[in-house]
Amino acid sequence: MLRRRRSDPSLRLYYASDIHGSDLLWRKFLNAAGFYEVGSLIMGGDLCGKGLAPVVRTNGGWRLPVAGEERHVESEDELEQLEGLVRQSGFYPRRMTVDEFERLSDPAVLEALFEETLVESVRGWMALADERLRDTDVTAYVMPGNDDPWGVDEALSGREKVVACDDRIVRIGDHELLSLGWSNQTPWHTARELDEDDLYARVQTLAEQLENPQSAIFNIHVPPYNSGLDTATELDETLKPVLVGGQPHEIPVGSTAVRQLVEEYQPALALHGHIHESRGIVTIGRTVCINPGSNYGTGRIDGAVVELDANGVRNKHLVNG
Amino acid sequence: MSAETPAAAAPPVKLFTRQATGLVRDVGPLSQLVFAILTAPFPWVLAIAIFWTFTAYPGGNLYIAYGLGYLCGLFAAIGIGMLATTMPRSGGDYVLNGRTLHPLIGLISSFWFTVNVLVSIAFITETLIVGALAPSLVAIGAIGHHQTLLNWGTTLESSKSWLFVAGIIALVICCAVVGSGWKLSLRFQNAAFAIGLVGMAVAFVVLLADAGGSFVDHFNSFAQSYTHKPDSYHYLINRATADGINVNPGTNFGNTIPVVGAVMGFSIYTWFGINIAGEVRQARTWKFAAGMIGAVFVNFLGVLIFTLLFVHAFGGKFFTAINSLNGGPHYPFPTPPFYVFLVAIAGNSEAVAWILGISLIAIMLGLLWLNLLQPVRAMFAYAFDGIFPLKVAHVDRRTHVPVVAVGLTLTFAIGLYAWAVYGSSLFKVYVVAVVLALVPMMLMSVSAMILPWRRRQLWESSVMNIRVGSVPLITIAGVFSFAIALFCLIVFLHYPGLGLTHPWDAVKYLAILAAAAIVVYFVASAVRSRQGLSLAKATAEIPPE
Repeated sequence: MLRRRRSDPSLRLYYASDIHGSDLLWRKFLNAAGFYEVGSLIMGGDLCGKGLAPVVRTNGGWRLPVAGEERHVESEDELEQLEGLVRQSGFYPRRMTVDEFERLSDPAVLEALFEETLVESVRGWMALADERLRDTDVTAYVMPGNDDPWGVDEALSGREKVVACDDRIVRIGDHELLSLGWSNQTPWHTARELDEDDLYARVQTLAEQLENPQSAIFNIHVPPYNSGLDTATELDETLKPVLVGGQPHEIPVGSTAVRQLVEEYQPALALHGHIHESRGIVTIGRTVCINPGSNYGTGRIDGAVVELDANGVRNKHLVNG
Repeated sequence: MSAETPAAAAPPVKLFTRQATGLVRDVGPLSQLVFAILTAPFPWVLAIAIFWTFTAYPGGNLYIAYGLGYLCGLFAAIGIGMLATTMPRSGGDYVLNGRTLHPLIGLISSFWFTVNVLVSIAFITETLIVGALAPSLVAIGAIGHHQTLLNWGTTLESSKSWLFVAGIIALVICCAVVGSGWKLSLRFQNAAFAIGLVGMAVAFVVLLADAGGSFVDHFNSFAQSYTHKPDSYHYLINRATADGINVNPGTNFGNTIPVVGAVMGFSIYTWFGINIAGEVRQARTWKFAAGMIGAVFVNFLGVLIFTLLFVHAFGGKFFTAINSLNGGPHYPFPTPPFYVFLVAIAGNSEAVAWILGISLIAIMLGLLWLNLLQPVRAMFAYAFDGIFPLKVAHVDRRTHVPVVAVGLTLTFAIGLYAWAVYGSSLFKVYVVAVVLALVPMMLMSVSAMILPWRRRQLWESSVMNIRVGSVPLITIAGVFSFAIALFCLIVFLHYPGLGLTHPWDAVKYLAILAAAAIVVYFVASAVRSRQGLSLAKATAEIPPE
């Protein structure tokens, strides 16, 4: 007797997170749809980079920092090539005059320029997503993470092929996608952080709106506490690693609220990022929890391809593209 | 106001960073340097791995061999260190070759190297017991006149059961440390290294203090009960000469080449540090490659300085004689003439024997721990890529121990160790295992050579995107490291005394392991394809455009 072929999954998705400003990784993220033959792309937050590279106009050329060194170039071609390298590393090249550069010593000016640059970049990325996905059935679900400034929300909204999914529930195939880019408190005190109680309340408010929690997908930036997806080095107030016996002290830094919510609602799938070094797949009860990790500086995008059907997660793969 | 300014007068242009969460890696530059040093720590080399060449290749000039051997090690560290800096992920040659050449080539390479490491683990364990622990007990017992310690040492050397039990204890301890996470592991590593350094510092002081020549008196006093001669020192020199050993052979350049090969047998592997690349801080900077390069210098200086001191303090003729007599019928002592024994006699001190014995055992435990890391990391990388089931990378939530990978590594290690203790044929595998390390090294060198073309964006965005003329520096470095691995292989093939007595066995093992890797790859690929994603795609680079 021939073995009966299993039915097609109801949803096949690609998930990645924490690309931190890498233009190369965003392009790969968009192309992952065709590459892995998925119908949905989910970006789990922390789109924005951490560094702004001033490209300062000088007599007969430009000066800019590349890989820790100051480089001086004269031709436009060479400059564009170096700017591309800077973008690949997750930093933002920004052309400016010497006067503008010198004004960056004012923290307020620097912060404003940072936000303007980050949002401008995300807006460009979303335009690229619309362009690349326009003639496909693929939808990209994108949310900001705790590291992303508020202006990013506006840059994500109103797109043709991008669904800004933060802090709400959207339909994705036969499943509901619950998304939240906020995290618990971090030593960096970033834009979107909540105390555990507030985080719990915020997700619970959303979860209560789910029609079928057991087939839902949680897309929550911060992973569950002590899940193996949240192990990181403990930091002190000055952001230096805490050393015990001369060695960095590793602790679980995930959210106790998220852990409790996953245990209570038992969604089919929980997608997380935030802790770059804690790549893995674990199960909490019946929920498959995934943190694909991130090595955004290497030019490879860490992600996960997941297939779901009515019974839950059918297949899951960690991928490195 | 002018918007432009001469470059010379302008303030430095720097990167501005903002407050954002970040990846914090566990292994700092100093720990990474220590890790690289422990791949072939100089106390271990001085105790076990080099002075046998006095007998095998008389006249082989050790100093020239050190110079050339460690120079080769330097080029190997530069070539493979540069490659690993461009993609610092844990998984070693599997990741570097797999991501650059082809995933299947990466897996074949990794099977070769992992089996080399597993076989090495069995022999390091055996050497730890019969080359460090037992002789140290005997040396302490002999010098301190402790019959119990003497008996323990000789029992360990002669009883297979005790050898097995002691080795298993060492393996379990080191595996437990590997499984305990980086915090304890790095403490263990650094403590082992620090204890080893204390021992070498004591040896250094004792040997310098012996500059007046008191060693001969101390040795004669100690040895009389074994040789029954008042001047055992000269008696042993004469005994060796009578046995046909040239105790003052001068330099024989023909015999220096295989000694260079012997040195390369331990000097060219500081790149082993690539196996922890994913955990090293600032691994995408030159600091990562510099750690491996620095380790070459430390180990080179260690063996050079202490060899000079040994020859100076013990006398060249005597040192050659006693090492040549070792293992033969005219060697009078119950323990080999390793530095723990001789330096303790020079210091005329049981305490020195204790310190040196403990320090050598600590270094050997560090070496064993380090080797046990590689298979665990390779299995993690296979599991994350879908080649092995993901359960292999399972980390226990309570203890944070990667129980399956550590358990598998321990099982393989115990099996091979049992083979080493109770069987007679594992040694044949071990002596050809060098090929299983050199061929992956050649493949990594090829990866380094072609990286700027195969992974252009990765190379361009790394700190290694330097050209010499029009040729990428990493390509030149890859050519050098390939040439060094090839040279080492040729030397081992040409001089069977270095251990590679059955080169066709090496070819056989390479073929068997390659076939095993191919089978595993295609089985995994079939399974993954049924699960909706081919193995090739799981690790292939997504085209960005």
